[in-house]
Formats: sequence, structure tokens, C-alpha cells
Amino acid sequence: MSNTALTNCILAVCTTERDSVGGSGPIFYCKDEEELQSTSLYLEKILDAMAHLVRPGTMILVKH
Amino acid sequence: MFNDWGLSNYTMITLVGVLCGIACRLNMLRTDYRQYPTYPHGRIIHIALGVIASGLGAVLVVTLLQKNYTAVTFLTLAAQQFRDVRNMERQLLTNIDSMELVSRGVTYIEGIAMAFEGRNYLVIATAFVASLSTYFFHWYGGLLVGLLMVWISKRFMSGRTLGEIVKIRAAKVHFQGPNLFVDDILIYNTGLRDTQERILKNGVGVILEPDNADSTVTISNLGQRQAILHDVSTILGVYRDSGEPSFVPLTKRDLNTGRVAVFLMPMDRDVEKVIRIVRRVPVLEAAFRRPLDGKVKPDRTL
Repeated sequence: MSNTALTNCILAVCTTERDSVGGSGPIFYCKDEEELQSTSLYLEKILDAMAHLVRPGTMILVKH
Repeated sequence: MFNDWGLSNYTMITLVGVLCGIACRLNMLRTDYRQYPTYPHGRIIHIALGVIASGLGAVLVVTLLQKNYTAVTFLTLAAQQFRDVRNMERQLLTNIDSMELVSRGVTYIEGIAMAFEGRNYLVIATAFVASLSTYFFHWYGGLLVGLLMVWISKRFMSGRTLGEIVKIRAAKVHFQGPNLFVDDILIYNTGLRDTQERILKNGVGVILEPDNADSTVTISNLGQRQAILHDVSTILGVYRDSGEPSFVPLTKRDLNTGRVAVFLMPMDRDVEKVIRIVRRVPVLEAAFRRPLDGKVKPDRTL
């Protein structure tokens, strides 16, 4: 029987487009690509998560 | 010659049996690069249990010769003791596995614990056969048969390696956008430029191509794949720390062909070495399957 506990949840979202993501989790709006990269990098290191690019301009941080 | 020392027949039988049993255990005991058994206390435990097992095997012959047949029941007690020790060994390995950067995995640990128990039984058998031969053929015959058993035990305990069941070749680690590929097999998605640069600098990819349906099922086993990662990371080092999921070594399977892609970031970036190490990774007993030997065989070739 595989593990039934909740795994792989989205911890935070970073995006450059204001209206593209909704929801109750933390969303970080970034001005440009550079800020998107640096914000995601810091969050990845702090949260021990992994940053995935789902759309150009939107990154999700997932706890694996 | 030994009769001049006043050694009785039974003492001779026991002595030869115990010595051959201990020799058998020492022959099968090696602390190699994997540092198992751990030095020094782990080795002491293994050797001590080997001595106990050889004592059991040798004394069994003497008790049977004295027509004390009920003494055979102490063998069941011995079996239970060794099973308990195997559980203890499994517990020890599982506990320390959580602290490894690249863990062994439960399948590997089960294999080690099983091998540990199996070796003790082989020692009992060696001591028993050597003692029996001493009774029939004097000490030189017993010693000869004992050494033969030591050699047979060594052959019996060595299993097959991955290089015998799959073809292994180097593969290119590259990105298509945020997606990391090893040749054409997708590993994962990472959006950070920093991570992508590090992976291109330090990453190594290897592809395992199975020969037939047997190999396909065996290498698809998650425990076997984790053992590959653990062995390579132990020898070549791993470019990661705790809490960095981006750099964790991974294996991914190509669903259409059954090939397995191995992605890792070793400290020593030599693809040839990685291939040689993967070739020598043991095929785990618990992971090995042979569907082609069944009465109903799979139709597919892979």
C-alpha cells in the first residue's frame, strides 16, 4: 500500500503577471524576470522546496 | 601426530569443525568501500556470531555420535536466535539510513540482513560437514573437506551484478526550457537559472538498456534503482546537502522501452567511472525477477 499522506504540495507561487494566478496560498508578484529568479531562489533555499516553471513567468515552489 | 598430544577423537572433531567454520566466516567477511560491517565493533559482532555458529555445527556432530539425538532441537533455538539477530541488523541499518545523503533503501537493507543470516547458516553447515569428515577421514580429510566447503560458501554467496543483465552507456544531460532531459528521458522541471547552470556543470547521465523481459522488470524495481544511486554516490561523492531537493540523484524510467535513465551529480565528474561502478552494482536478491521462466510468458521481447 503506497503512502497515503499528503505529499508534494505547493508552498508558494512567484509570478510576473498579476492576474494569472489566484488562490489562498502565498503569491509573490515580481516586476521582471530577474526578480522572479532571485525571489524563487531565496524561497527555494529557505523552504527546502523545489522551484518549477509551469508557464513563462510563473514559478511554483513545491515541497517534495 | 596429534594423538601424541593426548587429544581425544571428539576433541579433534570439534576443533577441526570450529576452525573450518571460523575460516569460512572470515573468508566471507570483508569491510570494503561500503564500510559494512562497520569497523571495529560491527566486525567483532559478526566474527563472534560466526564463532558461535561454527561451535554449534561442530558440537552437533559430537552429540549425534554419542547418540544424543534430542540435542538436534537446539538447532531450532539457534535458528530463532539468528533470525532475531537479523532483525536487529535490519533495525540498525534502517535507523542510520535516514541520516545518509543518498540512502540505501529498504530493499538493499533487507538484502544485507538476509545475507547476514544466510552466512551464519553456511558457517553451521561448514563446521558440521568438516566435523563429520574428521570423524571418517581423520583430521587431514576433515581439513580438506572443510576448506572445500569454505570455497563453495564463497561461491554460493556471491550474486550477479548489473553489468551482466543490462547494457550501460553514457547519455547527454541537457535542458529543453525548464525541463531536464537525459538523452530523451524527462527527469524533472526546474525553473531556476542557478540550478540549471549547476546541473549542466556537474551533472552526469547514464542510461541502462535491458536485454530482455527479465532485466526490464528487475531494473524497474525502485529498490534496485536506489541501490545504484547509493553505490555511485558512496564512491564518487555527491554534489548536494540535506534540504536541497534540486540536486537529489534520480532515476526515471522510459515507459515505452523499459530503459532507465540515471541522473546524478557526483563530485568526481568522470562518466567512464560512473559506468564501471554501475556495472558492478549487485543485483538485489529481493529485486531480481525472471518472468521468462514462468509457465505463462510475456509476449513482449522487452
